[in-house]
Amino acid sequence: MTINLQATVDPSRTKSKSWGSPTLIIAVLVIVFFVLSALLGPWLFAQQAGTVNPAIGRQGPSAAHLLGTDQLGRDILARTIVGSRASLGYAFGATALTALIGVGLGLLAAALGNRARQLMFQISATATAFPAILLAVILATLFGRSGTAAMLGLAIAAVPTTARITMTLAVGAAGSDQVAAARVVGVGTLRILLRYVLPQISQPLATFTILAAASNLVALSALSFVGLGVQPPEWDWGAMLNSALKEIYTSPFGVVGPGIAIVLAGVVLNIVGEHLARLLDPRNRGRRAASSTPTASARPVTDPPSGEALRPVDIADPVLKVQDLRVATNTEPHLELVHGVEITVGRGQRVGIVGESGSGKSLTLSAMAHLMPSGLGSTAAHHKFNGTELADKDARTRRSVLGDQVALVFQDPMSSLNPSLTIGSILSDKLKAHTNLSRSEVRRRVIAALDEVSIPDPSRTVNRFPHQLSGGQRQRVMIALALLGRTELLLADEPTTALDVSVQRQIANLLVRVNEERGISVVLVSHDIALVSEICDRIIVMRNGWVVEQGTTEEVLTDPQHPYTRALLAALPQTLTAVTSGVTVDKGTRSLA
Amino acid sequence: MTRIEARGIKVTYGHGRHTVDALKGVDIDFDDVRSLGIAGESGSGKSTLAKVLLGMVSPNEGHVLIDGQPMESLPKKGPGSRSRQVQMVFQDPTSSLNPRTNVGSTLAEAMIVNDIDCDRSKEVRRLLGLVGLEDAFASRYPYQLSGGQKQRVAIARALACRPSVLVCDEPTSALDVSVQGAMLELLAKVRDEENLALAVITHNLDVVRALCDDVVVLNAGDIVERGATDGVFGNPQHPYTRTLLDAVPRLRYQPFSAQSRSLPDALLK
Repeated sequence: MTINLQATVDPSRTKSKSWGSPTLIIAVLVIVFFVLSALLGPWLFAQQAGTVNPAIGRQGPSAAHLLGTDQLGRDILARTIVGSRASLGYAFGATALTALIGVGLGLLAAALGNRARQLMFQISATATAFPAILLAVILATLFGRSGTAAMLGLAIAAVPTTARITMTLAVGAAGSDQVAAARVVGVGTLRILLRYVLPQISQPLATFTILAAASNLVALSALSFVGLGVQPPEWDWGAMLNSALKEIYTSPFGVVGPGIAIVLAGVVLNIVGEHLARLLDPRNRGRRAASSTPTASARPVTDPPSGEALRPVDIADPVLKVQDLRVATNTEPHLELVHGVEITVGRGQRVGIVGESGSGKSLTLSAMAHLMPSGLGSTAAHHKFNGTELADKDARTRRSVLGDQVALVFQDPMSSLNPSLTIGSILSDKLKAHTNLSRSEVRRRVIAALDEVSIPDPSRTVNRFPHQLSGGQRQRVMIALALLGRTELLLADEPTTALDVSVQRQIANLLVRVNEERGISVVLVSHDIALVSEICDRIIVMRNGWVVEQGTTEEVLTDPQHPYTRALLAALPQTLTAVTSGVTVDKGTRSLA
Repeated sequence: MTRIEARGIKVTYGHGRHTVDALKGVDIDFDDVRSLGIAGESGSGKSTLAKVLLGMVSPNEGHVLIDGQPMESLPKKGPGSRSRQVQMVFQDPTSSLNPRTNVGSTLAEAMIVNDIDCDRSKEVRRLLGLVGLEDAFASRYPYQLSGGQKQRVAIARALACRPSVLVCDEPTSALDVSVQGAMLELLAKVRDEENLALAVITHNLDVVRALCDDVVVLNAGDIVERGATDGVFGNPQHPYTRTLLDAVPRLRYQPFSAQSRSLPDALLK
């Protein structure tokens, strides 16, 4: 299967990062060497490995025998190379067998009904509780002390863990939208498992399997070492260690060869296992791991868009003024995502930033609070907050100024509230950080703040946890946080998007109320121009990292200058702009109180 | 003529003391002449109703009839099977498409599993054309497409099964504002061209207004209001319907003149 990447991937972004780390290259080369020696070693070196010559026994390293000889005078290097077939073969054999049975059972659980699945989970949980290595020892003894017996013992002992991991992953994958969609289309169960579930979980499973192979190698060597695995005249690294250890005081070099082999193989398998997940992801072959970085357009645009409609902003005493604000990735190539925007927020104003995904609106908001997502950095020619120039200050000063006076509200309040703290402690932490109030005074203020944002029964809510509140209530708690302390500016990023429509209205009203009653300035980022027009005095329109238009709400709506603003307005359903007969909504003077 | 009737649908989740009545005896019907909007907020039971219409959840009471035939009695495979009759468009096209399968194979798979006898590559081109995508999209992978393009592919996949009923679950909610309008137009177009009985499940009343002749307003598992879309939205009777209508954000000012509303589509990729 080849993937055509030409269509959308900019060549400047296709950095061949997949093989980046030299450690990984070395690890892969070592594995190739081991595999070759397992395949060809017995064939090439059987002679040296098997020739008994007690006259030259127990020798140290020499030109003829690089790792010395064992008690019977056999070349240890040759024996290590030949022994790799048994060591690696049984270890990989055990791993493959475990993977086959374990993954099969795990997928079966995903395909079964709820009750059968619960039963399988119970069985595997019980089985996992029994120590795997002990089970392997018992089984290897039962199966009769041979390499094959040890392999089977290890394989079976590891099945419960693999099955359990596969089950957990597969059940999750089976609940995904793509599986639901495939079911609706009529795709059969087997095909869903193989084409939809297995690919989703193959990355973690592959990593897990490689790591299991490494531990199997060590476990097999241990079994051989205690005499349960490979039996003479066959040998593997563990058996070699066993016989060399008996003579360690007379010929200490005997343990070096097999010892190095076991450790090296274990280490390189672990290295590859850890890199595998990244290598297997098809998106990483052409694109950088863009999913983890914010969704701004990463196009290396340098020219400003034509026909900007930047009406002059004349605000005498702005609470916030940023000039030439830029956001770019920290790593090469430095992609600029926000291209030098200027934003002024007047004291007590409500300013809306409107744009679609990739417009850079959220990044601009984060940069205003100096909270950049990892991997991104921001610069600004001026960053003046409440009369203090922050652009030339160090990060600590900025944080102490902004942390005290800027509050943030995000789209998903669940992810911004610590789930293990009660609402009361989340709110009082903020007060304690910035004031020296008594406990009872803190509690009184917290309850007052919750009351102010219309949380019902605030004296009981302080003892609740975030998950016990509805989405709208959690958002109210975020706004209550803003009311504590000396907040001058509230930055809200899509604060209503995750909420039900009727709750959206309440949160929008609350933002307006907080602004009007407390004089806290508000910057609202949203994709919804209608919502922004209801709340905000001024609107800034962003696109691809540029501000394309700004002005008062009336100017932007009734006399849009930039074609993109016009297009955004034109894309709104007709019904939003036309008066619907009978509904008592007066758009011109709609009150939000 | 295709007609869907759901009669007395009751769905209960959980058991013992922890039962939740997701739907408390709901009746709906729609056909290829009058499409239906199912409006409600989270917890209203609208998503459960979608699953019932698709046969993915069996109601505790009540039944779904497709042209008078109970859904359970439909054959498992072949013409007349459930997946040949009822198809769905999901909210989030990014998560509902298989990221490892290109567009052409995604569409072909729907034809293969439903035993649809046709020249597949020709049919793929026809479907792509129908949803407004060029032939070249057949070889692209989901991550190479924009949200709107992915949703077009999802619509094409549903149509590949040649259904007579299409259920859309929040078809525009995951899309950028500037492509939402185009998506509504596309759904209206395929509804008419493919003679689909259409049901749209959404919290967004504008989607209902754009696509549906009739509407039911669902609240906590019950239908609180039903009727022709114009009538319900023009003269809402139930207070909950009024709350919903009132909650929709509206532009504070009448926007710029109407004649300049038709703007270059090129701007809206």
